[in-house]
Parts: sequence; structure tokens; C-alpha cells
Amino acid sequence: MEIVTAPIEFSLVTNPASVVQFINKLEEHYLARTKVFIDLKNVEKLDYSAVTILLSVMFSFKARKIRFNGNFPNNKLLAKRLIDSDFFKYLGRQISEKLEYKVGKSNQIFTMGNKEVNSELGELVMYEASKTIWGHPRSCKGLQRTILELMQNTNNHAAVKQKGEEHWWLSVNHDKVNKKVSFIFIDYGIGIFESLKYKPKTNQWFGWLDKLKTHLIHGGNDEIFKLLLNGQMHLTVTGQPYRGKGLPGIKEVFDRNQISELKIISNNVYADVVNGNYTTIKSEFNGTFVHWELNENNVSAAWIN
Amino acid sequence: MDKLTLYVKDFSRTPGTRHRDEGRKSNSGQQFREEYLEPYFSKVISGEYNKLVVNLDGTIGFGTSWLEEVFGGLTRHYDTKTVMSKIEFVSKEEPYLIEDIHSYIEHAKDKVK
Repeated sequence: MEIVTAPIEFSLVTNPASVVQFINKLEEHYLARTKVFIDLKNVEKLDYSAVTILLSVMFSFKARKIRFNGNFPNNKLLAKRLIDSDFFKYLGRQISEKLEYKVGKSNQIFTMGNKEVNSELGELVMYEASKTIWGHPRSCKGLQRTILELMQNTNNHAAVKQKGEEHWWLSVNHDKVNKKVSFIFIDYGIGIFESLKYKPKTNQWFGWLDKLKTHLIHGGNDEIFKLLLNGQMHLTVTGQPYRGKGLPGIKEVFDRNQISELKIISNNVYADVVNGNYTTIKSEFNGTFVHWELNENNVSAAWIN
Repeated sequence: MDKLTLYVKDFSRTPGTRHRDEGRKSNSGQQFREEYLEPYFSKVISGEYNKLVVNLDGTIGFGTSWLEEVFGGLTRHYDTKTVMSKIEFVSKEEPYLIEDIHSYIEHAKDKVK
């Protein structure tokens, strides 16, 4: 059994390069069908992005009947966080390949994986999240749009061949003390830049890079991603004004103050949308990762009865 | 002649994705268009009513693909001028949706499926 050591700072948000390397190492074992043991004992930081990664990877390995095990972090608080997520509960169980996985409690730490778009999930998530933040249910339409756009992206674009091949993973984490709820969405598909490579000639995005070239300064994926999120890439490539689809639609939700703390990783780009920092990371992440938060400063309205 | 009003919330509080095959709980735009919008719109086209009012309030939010499939999809069955002249929208809860929908209608024919 191969021992794979988790990064000491286990957070895709604050330490993307090391965590992506860790994920890629696990992916190698997954593809080779070799059993792994995750060594977590020296981890000093473990946030909800790490919890989501561990849960999603564990389910993927076990569904493929590849042995997967791990130990507790020495840090008691971090160990408790993992226990609360039900990671260890499922570690000793057999898991079969399923369309949908649900782990945890809907008003604490809740993680769900699915290959399909489930528009009804948003209502449960919104109901519980708004109760944590405002003390009673509130309507947060930007939250529903964010979840829908991400699920649809994974369903439609995460695999090259056909729709619905890849699981998406959504983790919802309630911070009742600070009255905020954080969200992690992750898929292990092909990512945005790889997806753009496979557009057919009939698609209006075919040849997008040639159309965009004159608008680029250095042409790195970080620069392109910024243009994509701001809708400028859509206007240049398609000749049409941008109307909110996909990840740029989530940026619009952020700009309308319907969500906060938006951070995205896709392929080799890390977008810290909050601070307007778009950077490349050394290791390529095969998929898309999105973090956001809902808090009492975000726009909300009366609950829909 | 009167206006006919269609409430999206009567279809679902959680309208979802573009196509039916994207999920068993997708509450897709394709389903709404085929089962609700097109039958209602045909009553306007036939002259039974002079306008269709689509009320978007009362849901927990919309994805953009749902909106494009519904209104862009209708336009691909008819044409931009007919759809723009025969439908009005009400969206007190999310006023920005109306401008987006108008854009989907205007550019419906550009979309390659």
C-alpha cells in the first residue's frame, strides 16, 4: 500500500499548488488501481476544501473497489472536523458505484456528490444556510444560480465524450458562531481550458484563441481566465454581449453581492476573485474547484412560501 | 382581448437545467417550454388572447441555461419579432432577468445546439 502524505497546509484555497500535487498523486493511484493510505497525522491546517477532497476521493476509490485508508491528524480540532464530516464513518465501509452520494447533516457539514443536475437541492441548502445566517429562512437567488451553473457545467462539460459522466461534489459548511456558510464545489473533469479545446467547428467558441489573440498581453491562462470571467472573452469570441452563463454568471452573482469570497481553480489558474488576483499555479488541476460564502452582508429577500 | 398570464412557480419553485436528460430532478427548461409555454403561447398566436404575460416571481432562482432554453427555444420555433411582440415579463424579485431574456430572444437563432 502506497502512503501518500497530505500537505501540512491542507487547503486548496490558501495552498493550491501543494494540494493540486497531492490530488494528482492520488489520481495516479486511482488510474493505476493501486491502494493508498493517506497520512494526515502532521497536517496543521485542514479546511473544508480539504474535507471535500478527502470525501470525494474516498468515495471514488471505494466505488472502484480500490483500497483506501488513512489516519487521524494529531491536531484534535482538525481530527474533529474530519470526524464531523463523516469521513471516518465511511472509511471502513464498502461503497458501491452510485449516481448520488450524501454525507453529513444538512445544517452542519453536508457533502453531496451527483452526476446529474438536481435543481431541488438548492432549496434545502438555501433553507438551512439562511437559517444559520439570519435565524430564519431567506431567499438567496444568487445562491441557487451559482449551484445550478456549476452542476450544469459539470454535467455538460466535465467530460469530453458525453454529458453526465463526472460527479460533482458540493460541500456546505455552517459556521453558526460567525453566522456564515461556506460552500465548496469540485469536479474532477477536464477543466475549463481543456473543455474549450474540444469545441466542434459548428460551435461559436471554435477557434476562440485566434479570435482573442489581439486582446491579450502575454496570453497566459490567468489573463484569459480574467477575460472569461468578466464576460469580455464572450463578447470578443462570439460578437454578442455576455448574458451570464456558466462561471462568468457566477462572477455576476458575486458582483451583485449575492455571494462572497469567490475563489476558483481550473486547470493551472487560481482566481482570487475577491481581490482581483489571477495567477497560474505550477501543477495542473484536472477539474474545477469553486469556493464561495454566504453571510449576512449578502443580498437576500423574504422566503418564498 | 385579454392577456393570459403564466406563472413559472406553477411549474416549479426550483426551475433548473436546460434539457430533460440532465437530471431526474432537473425541472428543465425544455419541459417547461414544451408543457407550459408553448401551449400557452399558441393561445396567443391563435388570437384567443392578445398577449402572454410570463411571471417569473415565486421561485428560488434561475439558471441561465433554463432561461435560454425556454425563451431562446421558443424563438427558434417562431421568430424574434413574434416572440418579442407577444410576450411580456414580470420579475419584481429579479428585475435584471428581463434584460437577459430579451437578449436570449434576440440571439436565439445564433445559438448552435
